[in-house]
Amino acid sequence: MALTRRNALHALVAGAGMMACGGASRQRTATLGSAKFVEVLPAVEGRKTIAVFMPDTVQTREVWIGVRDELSTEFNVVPVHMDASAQASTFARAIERHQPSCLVLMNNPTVDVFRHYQQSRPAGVPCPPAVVVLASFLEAHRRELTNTTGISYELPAITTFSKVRSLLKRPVARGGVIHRPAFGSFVREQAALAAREKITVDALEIGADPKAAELKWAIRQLKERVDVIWILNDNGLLTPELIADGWLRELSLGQRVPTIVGVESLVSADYAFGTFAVVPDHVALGSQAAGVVFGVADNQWRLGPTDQVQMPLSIRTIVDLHQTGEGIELVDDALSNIDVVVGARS
Amino acid sequence: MTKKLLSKDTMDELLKPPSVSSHPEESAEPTVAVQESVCESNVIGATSNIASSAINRRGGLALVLGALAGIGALLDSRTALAAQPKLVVFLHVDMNQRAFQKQLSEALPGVDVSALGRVADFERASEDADVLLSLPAVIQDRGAPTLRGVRSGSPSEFYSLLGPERPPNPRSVVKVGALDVLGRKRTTDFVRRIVRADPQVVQVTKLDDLVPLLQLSMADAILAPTRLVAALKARSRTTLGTTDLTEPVGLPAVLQLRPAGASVVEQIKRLPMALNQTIGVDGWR
Repeated sequence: MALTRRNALHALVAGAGMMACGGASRQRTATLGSAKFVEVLPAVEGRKTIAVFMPDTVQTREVWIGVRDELSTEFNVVPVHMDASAQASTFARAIERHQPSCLVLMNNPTVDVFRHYQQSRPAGVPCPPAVVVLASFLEAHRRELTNTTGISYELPAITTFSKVRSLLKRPVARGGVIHRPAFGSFVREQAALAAREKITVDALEIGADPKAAELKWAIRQLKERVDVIWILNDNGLLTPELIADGWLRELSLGQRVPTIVGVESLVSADYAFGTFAVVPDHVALGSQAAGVVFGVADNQWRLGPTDQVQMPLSIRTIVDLHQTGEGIELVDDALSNIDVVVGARS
Repeated sequence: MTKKLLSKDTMDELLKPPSVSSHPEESAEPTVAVQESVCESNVIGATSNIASSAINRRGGLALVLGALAGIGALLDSRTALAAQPKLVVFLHVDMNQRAFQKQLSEALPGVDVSALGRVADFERASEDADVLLSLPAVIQDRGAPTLRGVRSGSPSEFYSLLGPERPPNPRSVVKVGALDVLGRKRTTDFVRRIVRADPQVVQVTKLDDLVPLLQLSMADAILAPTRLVAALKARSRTTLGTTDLTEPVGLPAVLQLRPAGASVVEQIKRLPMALNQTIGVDGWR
């Protein structure tokens, strides 16, 4: 994905927000090689090593904090910087140098390079087990990997809906979602999970390349029959054109229905788009990944049959307070259970 | 409510979400789950550029002097903060740590309060703390509590196991979810002592993360103080069975580490009842 000016501006806004919310978890960066990178704790002789392959982003640094804080109680934890030039040989060299018992891989490009490494490895050369985080649709990619598990990046709808239900005075029994055909199986899986919490997911499928008119029609349908609309992190539904001419236009008309987005910066005091953002807590995601590594260690550094891809557990919640009130009222103690509040009541 | 409906160009600039995903079935290219690097240096650099251009435009001197005065005031406030006794709190309550810290700060004027939810953050912050507030099991290695929380006259409380559909049997649960209060190994021991069995312990860092362990079938049961059972049940529409356990666990306690903390201890004795209840006590002794 090319990093355009738009992306950079958006990333700056989103990144600044995340850094501001880092609180006590933020760490001083330290120099590693020639790059400003993450803080590394001194190695302890005799301990096993966990190698963490990661690019340097706001999110990966947050995940690193969780991974390092948990694993460094028992292991030496070594970060390996994955920049744009990283190749299969980056893995080969790092594994040769650090002799890790387990790997942690952060984000899809890193997983892609790791897949090349596994495929290019000479026969008979063992590869340590790997735990993947920050990678979208991990289960699909995992089929092309061996000895690998991890935590998917997509938050389960059951978690998202349950959280928003706990914040709203109005009942949340029916959640609506608009999706393109490629996301059908994902939405069906999420609907089955949400049913455990007695939440019905009303899914409306639209075309693979939707226009604003089709999206607006779908939003109108959902607004009439659901308590809340869950907006998928699908770049095909979140183009600037569809946001401006579809989502914002239709959501502003008639009956107001709260919306849940999966990107923090889509909740803005200036635009009535996401009422709530429910996003993964990256530090906690790192702790969860560390828990998987501990499980692998307990199993003599082998993946067991129960090492399925996990779903992320911990979330952060953001609300646009400007959109609340008038039928979208929060429960009395809601703000004590929300991580970031944007805007002010009108 | 007044909301702007934006032009496409403005939206283009501000709302293009870089962290959205393409489904793998749609593209052979690997998808990028998260936005690419935003370094602290980028943010700082941008701020510096804005500051320097402002100085150039306005002739500078007054701004520079103003900035210096501002820096002086900032240093003064930091010095003042440094002079305040520091209370580090490590408790899991029925609200997020930000809100908890705010309530504590309001109730303890003149005290620099840090409310934390992760063991590692607590360990780091406690290095320069004057007073600690946490479970006795957490602070006991550093000394005997200066103050013990009590409820109904008792310095301890009981815990419960919650499980889907029916009350969990402590002897047969395989995986128990619990808050990480002591680090991986010691928390596992702590949980096993309370449950009086040897289940695998799945640890989380927030109270909010316990119920999802059951919703996502990642644990057979979750462990929490009995006083929090109602709050946990309120997070789910499923039937959660409860088994009350009989092992007493110490209520939150206070440990004064340095002389500067003496005034904090006195203030904690006078916390408002609502805040005491959030902490899980009704008084201190």
